[in-house]
Amino acid sequence: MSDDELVLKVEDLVTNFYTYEGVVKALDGVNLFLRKGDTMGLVGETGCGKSVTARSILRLVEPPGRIEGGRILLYVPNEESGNVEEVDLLKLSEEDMLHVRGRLVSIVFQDPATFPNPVFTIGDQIAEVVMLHQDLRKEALEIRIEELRNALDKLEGKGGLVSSTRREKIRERLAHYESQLDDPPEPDPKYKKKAALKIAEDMLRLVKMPAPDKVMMQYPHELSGGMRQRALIAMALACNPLILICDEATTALDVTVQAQVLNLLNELKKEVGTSIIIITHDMGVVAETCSWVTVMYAGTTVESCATEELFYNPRHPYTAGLLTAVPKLHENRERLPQIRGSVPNLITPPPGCRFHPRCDYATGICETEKPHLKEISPGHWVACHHPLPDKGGKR
Amino acid sequence: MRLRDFIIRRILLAIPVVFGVLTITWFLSHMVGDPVVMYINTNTPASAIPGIIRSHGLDQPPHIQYFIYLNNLFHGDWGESTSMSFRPVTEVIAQRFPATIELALVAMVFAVLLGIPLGIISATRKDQMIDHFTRIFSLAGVSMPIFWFAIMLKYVLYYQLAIMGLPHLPGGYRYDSNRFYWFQYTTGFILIDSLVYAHSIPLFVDALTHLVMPGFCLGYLTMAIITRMMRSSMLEVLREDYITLARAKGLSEKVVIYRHALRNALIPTVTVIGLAFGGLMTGAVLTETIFQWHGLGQWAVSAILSADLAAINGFTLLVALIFVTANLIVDLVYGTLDPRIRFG
Amino acid sequence: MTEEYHLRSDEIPIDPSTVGQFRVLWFLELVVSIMLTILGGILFVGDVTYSIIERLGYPVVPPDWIIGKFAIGFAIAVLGLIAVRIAAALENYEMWTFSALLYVNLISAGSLILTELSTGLYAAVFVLVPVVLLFLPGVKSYWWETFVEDMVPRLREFRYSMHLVRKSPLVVVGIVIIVAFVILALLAPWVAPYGPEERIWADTNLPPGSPSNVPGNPVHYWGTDNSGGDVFSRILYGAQVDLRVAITVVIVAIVIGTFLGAVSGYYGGKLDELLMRVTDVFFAFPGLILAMAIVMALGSRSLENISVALMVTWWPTYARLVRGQVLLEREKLYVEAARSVGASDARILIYHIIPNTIQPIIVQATMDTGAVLLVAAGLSFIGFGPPAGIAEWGLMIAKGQEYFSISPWAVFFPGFAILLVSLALNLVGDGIRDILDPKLRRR
Repeated sequence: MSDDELVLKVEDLVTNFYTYEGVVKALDGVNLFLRKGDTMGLVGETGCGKSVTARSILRLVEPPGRIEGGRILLYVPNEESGNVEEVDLLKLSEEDMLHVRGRLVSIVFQDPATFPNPVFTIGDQIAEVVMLHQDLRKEALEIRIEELRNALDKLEGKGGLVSSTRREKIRERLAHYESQLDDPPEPDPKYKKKAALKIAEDMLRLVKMPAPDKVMMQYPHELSGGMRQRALIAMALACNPLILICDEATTALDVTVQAQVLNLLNELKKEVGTSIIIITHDMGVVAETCSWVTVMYAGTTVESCATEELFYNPRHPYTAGLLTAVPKLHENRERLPQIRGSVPNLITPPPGCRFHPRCDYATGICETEKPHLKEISPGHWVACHHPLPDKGGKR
Repeated sequence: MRLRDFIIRRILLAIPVVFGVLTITWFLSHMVGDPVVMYINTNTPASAIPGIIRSHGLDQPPHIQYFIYLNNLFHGDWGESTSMSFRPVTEVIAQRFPATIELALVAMVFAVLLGIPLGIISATRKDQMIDHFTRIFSLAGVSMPIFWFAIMLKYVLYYQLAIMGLPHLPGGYRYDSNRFYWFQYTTGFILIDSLVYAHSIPLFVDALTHLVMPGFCLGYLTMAIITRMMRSSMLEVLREDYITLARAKGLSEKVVIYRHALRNALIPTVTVIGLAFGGLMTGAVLTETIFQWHGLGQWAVSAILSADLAAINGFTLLVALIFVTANLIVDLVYGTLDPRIRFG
Repeated sequence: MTEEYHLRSDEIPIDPSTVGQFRVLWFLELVVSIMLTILGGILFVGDVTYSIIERLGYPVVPPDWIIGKFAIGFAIAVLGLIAVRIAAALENYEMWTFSALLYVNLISAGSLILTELSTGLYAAVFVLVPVVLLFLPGVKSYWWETFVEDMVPRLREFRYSMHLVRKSPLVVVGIVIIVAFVILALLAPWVAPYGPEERIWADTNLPPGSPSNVPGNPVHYWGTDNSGGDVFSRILYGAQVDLRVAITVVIVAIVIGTFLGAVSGYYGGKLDELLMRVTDVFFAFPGLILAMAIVMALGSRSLENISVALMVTWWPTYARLVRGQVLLEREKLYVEAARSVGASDARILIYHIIPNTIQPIIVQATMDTGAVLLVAAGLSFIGFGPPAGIAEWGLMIAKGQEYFSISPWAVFFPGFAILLVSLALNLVGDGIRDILDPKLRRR
C-alpha cells in the first residue's frame, strides 16, 4: 500500500491508565491505517480499547489516563501547494490540537441522550463549531448583501421622498459590500453567527433531519434519540472533516433507526468525501457498512484486512473464534461455540501475545515474544506467530 | 400564560407554608408570654385590665383567640410591639425592613461576586494548592461562629486601629449621626437616600464604610455556601459527556468551561443562592446585634428576650414571606437557565 | 423446623460432637438478650417516667443512676430485642446469626460501658462471653470461613477508602483535629490545670502564658477572664458540653428524620404530601428565631432546652434527605427483585433501602454536627443557654465580650475553638462526600 492514499496511520499507540489498583495498560501497541474515502470498522469485545483508541486519536484521554507512546500520523492536504503534509498529532501543541478537533477529525459518541449540551439549542451547538473552524467572511458578507436586497425590494413599491433617499443609501451600501466580495473583511459577529446558522441548517438538511428549520430552535431534550444522533452527526460533519470517527454511534439506537443512520453515513461519505472509522462490537454493522476491518483484542491490533477477506478468510485465531461465535441463520446448533477463558486483566496482561492463554495454537514463542502486525498476504495484516492457513480466494 | 399559571400555582402552594409558620409561632409565642401585654402599658390602670382582656377576646379559648389574631392580621393590624414603646408592628417593620434588606443585599452581592469565581477556580484546579486554599477558606466561612467573627473584626478593624490612631472602619450603626445630625430617612435605604434625597457624597461614603464590616461578616457565610455549591456542581458538570463533546469540537478549555460548563453548573447554584437569602435573615439576627444595626434582626432578639409577642409573630411571618418569595424567584430564574424546565 | 434450616445445614453439616458448644452459646445469648432488654428498659422507662412526674409538678427523688440515661437505655433495649431475634435464629444454626451476634454483642458491651454504671460494667463482661464462645474451635469452624469470605470485599473497599483518605490532606487534618478535641474533652479532668468553674480572684484578666499570682498554681496558658477563670481549662471542659449537645442533637434528628422520611418516601401518597408541607414550614422559619422561641416556650434557658429546640428545628433536613434518597432507590431494580421474591415492605425498607441512604446521611451528619455546634453556641451567646459560670463556649464569648478591651483572649480562644472543631467536621464531611461518592470513587 502506498502511503499517499492514507489519511490516518496509527503506529504502536500506547495508552495507560494510572489507577489505585495499578497501571491499566489499555492500549499496548495499536496499529491502524485508514485510506482516503474508506469506511473502516474497528471491532473487538467490550473493554478491548476501541473507545480509548478513538479518544487517543483526538487526544481526549482524561486523567488518570495518559498516552505514553507511538505516533498518530494525519495526512493533511495543503490547499495552497496541493501537497499532502504528514502531521504527528502527538507532537502538536494543545493549541494546534484545537484546530484538529472538530475540523480535521470529528467524532460522534455513543449515547445521544447525554452528549448534546442540554442548555443550548441544536442550531447554536452546530453553529458553534462552524464559527470556530470555518472562515465565514464570504458567507457573512453574502448574507448581509441579501438582507439589503430584500430591504430594497420592500421599499421598491413605495413612493415618497423618505423612501427614495433611504433607497439611495441602501444602494450605496450594497455597492460598497459587493465591491468587497473578492476580499471580504472580518465580519460583524452578528452576521458571522447568521452565516453559521445557515450552514448549520444546511447540515441538518444533509443528514435528512425532518423539519430542520424547527429543529434548529429546539433543545436536545425535545428530540428523539435518532434525531439527536443525526444532529450530532451533522455537528461532526459541519466542517467537512478528513476523518469521522463513530464511537458506537448506533449502539444506543433501536434497530430500524440504526439502519437509517448507517445508510446515512454511507451516503454522506460519498457526498462529503470523508473517511470514516466505525467503532462497534456488532459484526453485522461491519459487514453492512465497512470496506476494511481492523480487529482489536485486549489493547492490541490483531488483524486488519478488507471486510470480505476477514469474513471468509480470517487468519488470526482470535478473529476466527470471534466469527464462529456469531450466530448464523442457516445453522442449527445447540450451543454457540465460544472462545475458552476470559478477557485478561489489563493491569497484569499476559506476556508475549496477549491472546496466548486462550489460544489453541499457542506455543512457547507466544508466551515470550509479542507478535507484530505484518502483511502476510497482499492486503492482509495479522499480528500472530502462527496465523491460520490461507483458505485462498474469496469464498 | 403558562408562566402566569405557574406563578399562581406557586403562590397557592406557598399559602399553607406561610399559614403553618404563622400557626406554630402564634402558639409558641403564647407559651412564651401573656398576650395581654400587647394591649397595656405602664400607664394603664389596673382596673382597666379585665376590660381590655374581654374586649380583645383574651378570655376566650386559645383557638378562638387565634382566629381573632388571624382576622386582625388580614385587616392590617399586626399588633403592637411592646419592646418598641407600643408602636404598631407594621410601622416598626416598615421602618426597619430597609436596613436589613440593604445589609442583606450588600452581603449577597459580595457573596455572589466572590463565591462564583472562587468555586470555578477551585473546581477547575481540583486538588491543586489553590483548590485546597479555596476549600479551607470557604469551609471556614461555613464553620465560622458569626457572632465571634463579628467581634473579632470589630476588635481589629475598629478598636485596635482606632487606638493606634490609624484610619479605621466604624464599629456600629448605619451612619455617623454626630457628623450627619441633619439626616432624615426617606426610603430607608441609606445608600439611596444619601445620594437621591440628601445629595451628600460624604454621607454616602460614610454609610458605605459602615456597611463594610457587617456586610462582609454576613456575606462570608453565604459566600462560602455559594463557593462550595459552585465547586461541586462544576466538578459534576465537568464529568458530563457534553463537556467531552465540547472538547471534541475543538473548543478551547476557556470556552468549554465558561460557555458549556458554567451555564449548567449555575443551575443548582441559583437554588442555593435563593435558599441562602433566607439564611441571611437568620444571620442578620446575630450580626445586627453586634453591630448595633437597627434592623429587623436586632428587633427580633430584643422581642424574644422581652416576650414581645406581636413582634415575634410579625417578624417570623415576614421572614417566611421573604423566604417564599425568594423561592419563587429562584424557580423563575431556574426556568430561564434550564430549558428542560417548562412552567406549567 | 423450616425448610431454610435444612438448606443451610445441608451446606455445612454440624459435627455432632460440637452440638453441645452450640447449645451453650444459644443459651447464653438468650440470657444476654433478655438481660439487655430488661436493663435498657429500666433505664429508659425509669428516666422518662421520673421526668414526666417531675414535669407534672410532683417532687420525686429518682435514684441518681437513672437520671439522663433515657437515650442509652433506649439503645440498649433495642439491642436487646435484636439479640432476642438472634438467639431465636441461633437455635436453627442460621448462618447470618454468628456475625450478627459478634456485632450486636460488641456494640451492646460498648453501650453498657457508656452507662457509667458498675452494673453496666459487669453486664458488659457478661455480654462478651458469647463472643468468646464464638471462637471455640468447634463453633468457629462453622461460620468463620463464610464470614471472612464476606468480609474480604468489604475490607478491600475499606482499605481503598483509607487510601483515598490518606490522599486528601484536608480530611486527615480534620480527623486529627476532631480526635484531638474529643480526647482532650474526655481527659479534661486530668489535662486541665484548673476546674471548669474554678475562680482565682487574684488572677483576673491575665494575658496568655502568665504565671498565676497565687504561688504554686499552674500557668494560665491562654490567660484568664474577668472573674479569674482559666480560659484554657474552661475551653477543655466546654468541649465536653458543646460536643455532647451537638452530637445528641444530630443523632436524635437523624433518628426522627430517617424514620419519617423513609416511611413517607416509601409509601408516598397523602402521608408524603403532609410531611413535605410540614418540612416546608420548617424550612421557611428563620431557624435561630424558632429555636429561641422554643427555648422560651419550654420555660427555662438551659442547654437541655437548647438541645430540644435544635432537635425540633433539625429533623426536617434529614426527613428531606432520606425521602429523596428513598424515592431514588425505590425505583431501582434490586428493590423490584426483592419485592418479587416476596420480601415485606418493612424488610425492603430496613435491609435494602435504608442502607443505601446511609452514605449521604453520614456526610450530612458530619457537617451538621459542626452547624449545630455553631447554632448552639450562638443561642447561648445571645443568652438562651446555661446560667453564667458554666463552662460553655458561646457563653464564654458572651461574658468575655463585656471586658473585651481588657482581655480579648477570653473571647478569642473559645471562638477559635468553635471555629476549629466546626471547620474540622466540615473538612471531614466535605472530604468523605467525595470519597464515598460512587461516581468519583472508581477511576
